[in-house]
Amino acid sequence: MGRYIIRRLLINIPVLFGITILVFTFIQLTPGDPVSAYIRPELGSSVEMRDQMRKQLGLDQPAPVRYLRWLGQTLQGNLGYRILGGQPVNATLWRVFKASSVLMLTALALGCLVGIPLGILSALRQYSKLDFLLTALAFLGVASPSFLLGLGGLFVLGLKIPLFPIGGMVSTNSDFSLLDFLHHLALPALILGFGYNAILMRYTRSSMLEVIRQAYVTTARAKGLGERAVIFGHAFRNALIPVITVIGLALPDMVGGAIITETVFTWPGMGSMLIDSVNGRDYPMIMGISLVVAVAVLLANLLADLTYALADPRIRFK
Amino acid sequence: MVQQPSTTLTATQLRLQKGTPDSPARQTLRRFRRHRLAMAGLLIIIILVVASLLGSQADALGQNLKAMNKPPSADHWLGTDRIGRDIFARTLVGGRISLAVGLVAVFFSTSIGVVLGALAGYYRGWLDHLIMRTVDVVLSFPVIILLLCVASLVGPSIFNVMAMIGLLTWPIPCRIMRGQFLTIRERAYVEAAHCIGVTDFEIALRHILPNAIAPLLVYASFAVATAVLLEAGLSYLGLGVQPPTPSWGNMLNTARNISTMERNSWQWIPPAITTVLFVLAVNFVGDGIRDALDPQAKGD
Repeated sequence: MGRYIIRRLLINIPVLFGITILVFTFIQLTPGDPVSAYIRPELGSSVEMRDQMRKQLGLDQPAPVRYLRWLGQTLQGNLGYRILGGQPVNATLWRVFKASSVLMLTALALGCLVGIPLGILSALRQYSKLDFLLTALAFLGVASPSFLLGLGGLFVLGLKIPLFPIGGMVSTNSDFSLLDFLHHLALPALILGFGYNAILMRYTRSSMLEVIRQAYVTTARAKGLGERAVIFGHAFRNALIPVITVIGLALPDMVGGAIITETVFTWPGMGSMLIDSVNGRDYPMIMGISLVVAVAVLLANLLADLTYALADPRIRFK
Repeated sequence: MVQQPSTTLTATQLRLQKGTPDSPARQTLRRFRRHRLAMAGLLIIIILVVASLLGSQADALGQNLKAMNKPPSADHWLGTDRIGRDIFARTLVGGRISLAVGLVAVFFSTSIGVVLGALAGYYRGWLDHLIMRTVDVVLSFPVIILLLCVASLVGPSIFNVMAMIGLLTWPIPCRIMRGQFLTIRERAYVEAAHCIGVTDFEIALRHILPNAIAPLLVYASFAVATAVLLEAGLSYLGLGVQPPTPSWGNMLNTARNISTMERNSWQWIPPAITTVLFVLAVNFVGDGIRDALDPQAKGD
């Protein structure tokens, strides 16, 4: 187990460096002069002023130097200052990261709590009407990206039958209250959760179907175990292993879906911030968000790998 | 009493008697045709494709400032947009654009993935490591984040959207191809080809690739749906296909304004429905292809 963990960690280190280099290269290639965004238009812009600003921002150094400086600072947790407004990237990133995490984790929890049990049910009643209905729903969930579902949900449940607020994280005209926050969270989380739910249901179903045909499940039945003990004690635990990996692997897509869904609901998270930053050429912010997302995805994959090994001795001792 | 041999023959026995056993390709096709959802999906795709080919470019681009934001009527079946263009025509022509983007993007991504995956799986060693670590890096980013970064870099246009989606989604076919090559290169017939002096290129192309193609076909069918959705998302954000050219995604862009979304709902609902319908149909067909190519994976 120890060697397995160390090997997984070592494999991920070059990937981590690759990520930082890729992020940095992308941003370097972006057209537009960040200096322009930094000088207030009413002050005019002389060449000297732009040069001074460029020096001040460290933009006059060659690319590898800028990369190493940036990496050094990044490792110390300093992501620099935003080009729009000049606040530290750290503070803003932390704020939007929290907002995105709340939304995504709620949606993921909803997806797991609903998707996995429904997947099991669907597998146990294979080819029944219920199975057919759930499969159809899952197809619909996979086919409609969360932003389209979001548009539909917003239109029906936010505008036509105004049960939910149409956007934002809290009401602007009142003090913060948990109830108000949950009210804002509900619709985007449900919409996003529906998509996750569909993916998890499909995988749980097929994994469960595979497991249930195994000899040890027949053995468990043959020795007279009750159906519940067979399903939960023997089949489900083994069926869950590939599902863990799927959650890890599907995470980039889930984050991707969340990014556009956030803009639909004007949820003040990393997605909305990323779109604003791309439009405003706010390099440090784009770097920060891409980096955080990629590292989070990498960590989630690592976690999935380790959980996988923990649950399955065949992998641990290979 | 002597047992008479059965005089009725099964269909298979009859065919064997005639000496025309089914070829594997024919069997696959038959399994596909028996897949009801896949056939329904295929029908939907054909209808959407034919309809989008029939769409009139002139109607889709022609402005009529006397009929702005009109709801559906006899003149304009699905109403008009904010500068009086016909939504029905725009949905059809937009479909042409969206589907073309999807197909070309998948062609790009599959081609790159096949070449790199084949190299990695065939030669292994440091090349394999390099390619697979690059795959890991690219896969760590949600595609949409990469797309947004590149979109701001190269500027939005139809060609750029196709190229970007293609260039950023190759890791999956690459992984599939590598896996196939790794197993197939160990087969006896590949060794035999080596022995009689067939070149690496010929082995890869003529002996391994044809046997590695099945999972790639399944990938490609699902990938068209993914590419159409990526285009829709990107254009919805205003970073994909640019107006006046319609695409399903940039028609959805009108829904970013809450009051337009509520009051002029006919402007964004049709492309939303066609997008979902197309993606659903592609998923059905993809499922059908998978089941048909691999009878063992049934019931999945």
